[in-house]
Amino acid sequence: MLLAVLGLATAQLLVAAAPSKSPAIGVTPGDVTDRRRNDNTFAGLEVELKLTGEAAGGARGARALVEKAVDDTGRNLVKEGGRPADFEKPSGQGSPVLKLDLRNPARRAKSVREISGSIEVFLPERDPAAVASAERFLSGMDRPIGAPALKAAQTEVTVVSRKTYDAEKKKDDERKKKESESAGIAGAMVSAFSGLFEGLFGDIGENDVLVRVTDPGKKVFGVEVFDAAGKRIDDSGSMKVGEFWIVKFTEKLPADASLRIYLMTPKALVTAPFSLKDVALP
Amino acid sequence: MRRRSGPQFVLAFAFAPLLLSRAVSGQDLRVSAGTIEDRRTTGKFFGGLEIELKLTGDDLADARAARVTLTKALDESGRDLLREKKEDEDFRKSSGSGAPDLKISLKNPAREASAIKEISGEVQLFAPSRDPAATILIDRITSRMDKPIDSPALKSQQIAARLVSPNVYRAQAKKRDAELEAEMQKHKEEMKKEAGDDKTAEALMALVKGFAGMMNDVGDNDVILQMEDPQGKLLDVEVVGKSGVIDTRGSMSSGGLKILQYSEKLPPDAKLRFLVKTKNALLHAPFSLTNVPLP
Repeated sequence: MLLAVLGLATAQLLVAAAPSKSPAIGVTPGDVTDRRRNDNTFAGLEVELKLTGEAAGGARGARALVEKAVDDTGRNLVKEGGRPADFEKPSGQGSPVLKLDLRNPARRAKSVREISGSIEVFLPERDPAAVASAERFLSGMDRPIGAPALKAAQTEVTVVSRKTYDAEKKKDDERKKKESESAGIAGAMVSAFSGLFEGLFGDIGENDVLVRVTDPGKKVFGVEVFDAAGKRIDDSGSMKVGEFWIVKFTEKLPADASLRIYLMTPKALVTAPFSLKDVALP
Repeated sequence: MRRRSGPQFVLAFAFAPLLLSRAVSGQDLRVSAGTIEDRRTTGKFFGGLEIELKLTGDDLADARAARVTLTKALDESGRDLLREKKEDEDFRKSSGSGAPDLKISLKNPAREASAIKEISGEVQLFAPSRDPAATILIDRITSRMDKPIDSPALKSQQIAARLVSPNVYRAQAKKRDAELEAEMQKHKEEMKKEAGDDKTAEALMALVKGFAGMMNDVGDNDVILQMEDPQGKLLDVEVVGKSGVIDTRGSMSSGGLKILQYSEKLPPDAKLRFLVKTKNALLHAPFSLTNVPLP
């Protein structure tokens, strides 16, 4: 236990204090927004974290996990029972900007005395096994991609045809309907709402790529499509419907396009503690 | 006049008619604070204090719209929360049968302030039923296309309006597009230099074209109005049929242009209804809220 505490303290020095040598990865606070409402809807303190360090540029995604957050009056700002933050992806060329979702500090508080926890950064270039490729994937529909990296990550990824997707979706809808019927009115409402959302966003275009991801260990970070010259083909957004990932494209993909699947392997996922002190409140 | 004790209440002052001798005073309108959001940020945008004002009282029965003007807003530390002088707030229309949603936008109070000491000002209600001159009906819409609407009532309010048929509007839009395109081609090189590279310049030009063309796409059943209202008296225009307002599927406005979109052909007896903010249709109700707790 003592060793663990000492280890954490040392790591904090390396990450947050960094006297002379800049660490591989760290964070500095960005904008702080304290949204205070008398109906408590969408209220909370949001602290932006910017990635720093030489590895920040290669980050494909990152998230922060808060262990401690206290304002200068001693109020605990950690939200109880909140689910871990999702990984943030970079927008454009920069590195991802993380956002901490905390409780509102006291009105009389002038600063957040301490925020500490850890950051997880996905750096796929650190591990060749973090990227699995499927060449000419459009001609291999409805067959699981046979890349060793996927097998090692105990993950199955299949690009599916529209026909398969529709059939699977129908089966899934029937299963959900049965479940909601047995859950009574609450279940029916959940079912109606999820149907509404899927109706709004689940429209599939003829150029979209449908990928079934069976990923019990939640290792798959994302998928991207590349042309034969190795240039990424920009998608126009993506969404998840159950096990299916729908990647949207405005134009028809070339027949020789390849698919890359990014996997959060232990070597590619870097964890570092962070600690921020006396963050001024607006 | 009703009064309520407690920190948040309305004063529909009995002496208001003395102060505002030429305006119509509200007799029964109460204002209280609803949802309060104090958004404090170190960022550049979207910081400020927003307070929803809830309106109740008999005066609301006839109100079609409302707006608020503020004269004083102080937190308990004495900080002035009024934003720098800006144009008058627009009237907010009632949603269905409910009271209009009013929100006031102030500067952030001091961090340590736990309450707003005072907010005072005036709520104005637009109640067209109180003045026949506030509602102007124009019949036979379809026979009035592509020429100025001849109406003494509109003229007396210094409002000029013209109904434009979709075909004529499309032809005008095509001409405008061509002129814009020619103008952009003329300045293309300049824009490339300004933007730094061809791709950015193309993207900027596409954006300009996109914005300019947003109102060019009209349907065959749409009602297109070109209006001049130098006094800013017009509150709204709607199309009414035998059983009241005919709901639009959307509307667009820009400057003096207003497009009311309809999916179906309007009945031949449809009329245009102009709602005008005449002096007698506006009710003025001063209010003051004190000791409003801050979240």
